[in-house]
Amino acid sequence: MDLSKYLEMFLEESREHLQNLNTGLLDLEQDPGSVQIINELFRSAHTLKGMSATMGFMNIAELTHEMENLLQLFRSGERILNERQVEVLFKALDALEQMVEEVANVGEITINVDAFIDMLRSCAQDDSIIPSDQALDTDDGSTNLQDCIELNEYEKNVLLDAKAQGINVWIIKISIREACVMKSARAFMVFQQLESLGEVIKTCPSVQDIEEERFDNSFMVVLLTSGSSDDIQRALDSVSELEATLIKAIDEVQKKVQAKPSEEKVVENDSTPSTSETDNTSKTSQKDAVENLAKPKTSLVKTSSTIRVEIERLDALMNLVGELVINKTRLSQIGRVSGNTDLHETVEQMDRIFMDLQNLVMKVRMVPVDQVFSRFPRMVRDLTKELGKNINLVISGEETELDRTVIDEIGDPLVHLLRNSIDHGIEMPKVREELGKDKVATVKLEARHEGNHVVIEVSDDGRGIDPQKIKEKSIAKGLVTQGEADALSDEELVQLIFRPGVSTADKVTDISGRGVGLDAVRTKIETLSGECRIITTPGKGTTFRIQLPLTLAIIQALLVRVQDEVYALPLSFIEETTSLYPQDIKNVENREVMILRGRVLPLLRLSQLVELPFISNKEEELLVVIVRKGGKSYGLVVDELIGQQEIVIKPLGNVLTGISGIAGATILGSGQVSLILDVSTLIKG
Amino acid sequence: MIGLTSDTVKNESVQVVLCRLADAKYAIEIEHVQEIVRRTQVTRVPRTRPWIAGVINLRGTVTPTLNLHKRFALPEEEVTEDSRIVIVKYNNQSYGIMVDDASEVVRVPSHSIETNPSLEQEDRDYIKGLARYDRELYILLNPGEMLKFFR
Repeated sequence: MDLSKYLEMFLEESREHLQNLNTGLLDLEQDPGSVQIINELFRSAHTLKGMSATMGFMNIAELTHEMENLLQLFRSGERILNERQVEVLFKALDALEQMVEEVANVGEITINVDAFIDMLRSCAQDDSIIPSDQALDTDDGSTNLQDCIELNEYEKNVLLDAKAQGINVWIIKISIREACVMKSARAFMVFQQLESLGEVIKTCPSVQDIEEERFDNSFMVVLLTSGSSDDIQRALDSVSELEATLIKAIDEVQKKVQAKPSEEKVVENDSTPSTSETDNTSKTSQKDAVENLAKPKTSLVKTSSTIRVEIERLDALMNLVGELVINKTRLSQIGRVSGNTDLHETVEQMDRIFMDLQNLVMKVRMVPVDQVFSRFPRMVRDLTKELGKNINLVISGEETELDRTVIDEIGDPLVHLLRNSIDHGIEMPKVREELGKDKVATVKLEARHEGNHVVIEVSDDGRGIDPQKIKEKSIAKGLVTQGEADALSDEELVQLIFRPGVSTADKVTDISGRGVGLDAVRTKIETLSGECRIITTPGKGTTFRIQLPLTLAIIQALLVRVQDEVYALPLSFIEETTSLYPQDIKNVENREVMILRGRVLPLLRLSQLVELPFISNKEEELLVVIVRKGGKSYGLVVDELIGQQEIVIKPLGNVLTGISGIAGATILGSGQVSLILDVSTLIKG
Repeated sequence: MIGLTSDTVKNESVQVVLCRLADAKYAIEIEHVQEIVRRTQVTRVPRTRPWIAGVINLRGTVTPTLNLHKRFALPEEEVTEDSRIVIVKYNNQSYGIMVDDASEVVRVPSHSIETNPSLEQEDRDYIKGLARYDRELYILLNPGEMLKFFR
């Protein structure tokens, strides 16, 4: 069977599952005990394994299989993933992502998964030795957990009373390092710490044995406390030479005891540890299997209302609609000229249908920004760990929809902005405390509709940007003169941060600080016909605001004529149109400028920018379009303003690309091709 | 057809489009010719090479077009009834060539094509060879190499 035609689908679905795994792991990190999350992870991993094995990507299948094995250990919910295991799972996930991308790009996998598999195996193993209450190492004889928690009637009653009062029951295993010379002293300190939190109702071996150092390297404690696992962990961390101190809440266990006492080995302890464990897991996996069967059914109902369509087909559909729009414009022109009322009416009706059709096709191409946003929690998590900062990423408006073409492009700029906020914006936790700010910083990523635009904001509650610092740097870099800088308001000054070479970072890190990031962001956003601004309050925080058009395929443009050529200027670049007389043109340093309501704007002749011969018209009034480029305005002299029109953007053909100043072409109602100007590259400097 | 039987033509011949630019004669293999259209309005594209005439609307597709007169330093003729644009398709990339005439599609026997003419001039990769046909000499163009004219 030829599998290559399924490759696209495989890649698509793999990416989806990887994203699910990523999100799931992040959730699990917050809530390590959740069986539901683990089950979701398990499902994604399982599907991924099946798909990749079918496609013959055995490396992916093997690694996913190993991840499954590790997850399986925690599926019953009686054991909880520790931090290291989550870390290893993340690493394995990264490797999977890399492999899938390799399949996409080169068609084969070069990554060796053995190291990852070993890592997963070892961390599954070391877990089974240390924390488990059942599979405790029985070689050292006396210290079997089963004995420990074989509670007598009195102790059981204490436990139930405690539960009734909402007090948690914890079984804690304490391992003291082999090299420790005064084990009993350490044990004493442990008791002291634990007793400050609650009541130790039982130990194993007995307290007396422990005090007389009659235990190997580890002992068990049953603790009643209203504190959280964190409290216990913290208390135990204060005692040195402890190894692998693992904590287990047993209230879940107790619940089961009460429901079905005969099944519960922990308290009843009828069966040997090994069989009871297999019993238990087989039971839970049966239960899970039932859940698994039940769940896909519900999700099937949910997903059956959508279908997967190849992007190319949507693009083709969009193109056809574009053709129709062009011909519609032509037809309505004919209708107007002919004066035939029947024709005119029909054309008007068609017009409305076209409008609906166009809107519908555009909507079909819309995808929620969540597609981009969903990868950020992971990135922020990794960055905060790396930098030792404490950051809470708040994402909102992820359901906001944007055209696919825009979605594909905004990922990188947003990564830049988030990194910037985290690296430069957010202070270290210590500094924040000194400043009286919340130790946990907040970075917000928000998307929302604003009229015909989508606004995406990245804001932080960090140190903000000092306009004076930007001013100094910009002058030092020669971007502005002292005089120019003095004339700018604080708000205008901070916008200079988008210029190349300007960075407020005192040191360059591998995350940011080279002064190229924001320039790249601005350029990218501008090629998307968008706009970016920065709003900052020193000491309070910074907000980067990106405004994007809903789509790039059909835009509003102003058609202008220079000599006998017609160009389309996207409205997103245009501030206003005005006119002036030749005598109003001033010369500053041999450059033409104009004055618009007190503002001095450079004046450029479109004819010159598009390399047409200069034809002077001395007396006549000049038409000027005020365009915006990177927060600066320019006057653009044209010969005629033809009017505003909806245009369909078409590429110039694949042999003619990357011409500065030209964003593409469009076909006018007359059938003539007109070029779309790209103001951001048309004007130099 | 200079006395060739149809059998030999079938076996060892190349089908080419003959075209004329000023008084120079060119040939393009028909497998690379997508279509031949009448001269239509060409929109000039600024900030490009002088021999790029601009773009045309080919039934809704914007297609770049070459002005080989400028590239080969030939005198430009007025647009007449015979003027055409030959649309070349090579590796899924389409472009047009403005010609003064393109009226004939003929079979040229392979032995009448000299594929490696010693032109002794550099930068002539766009010439694939010389074709003799009807006692005339045609320059056989190389559509793949001509893509470089756009860069």
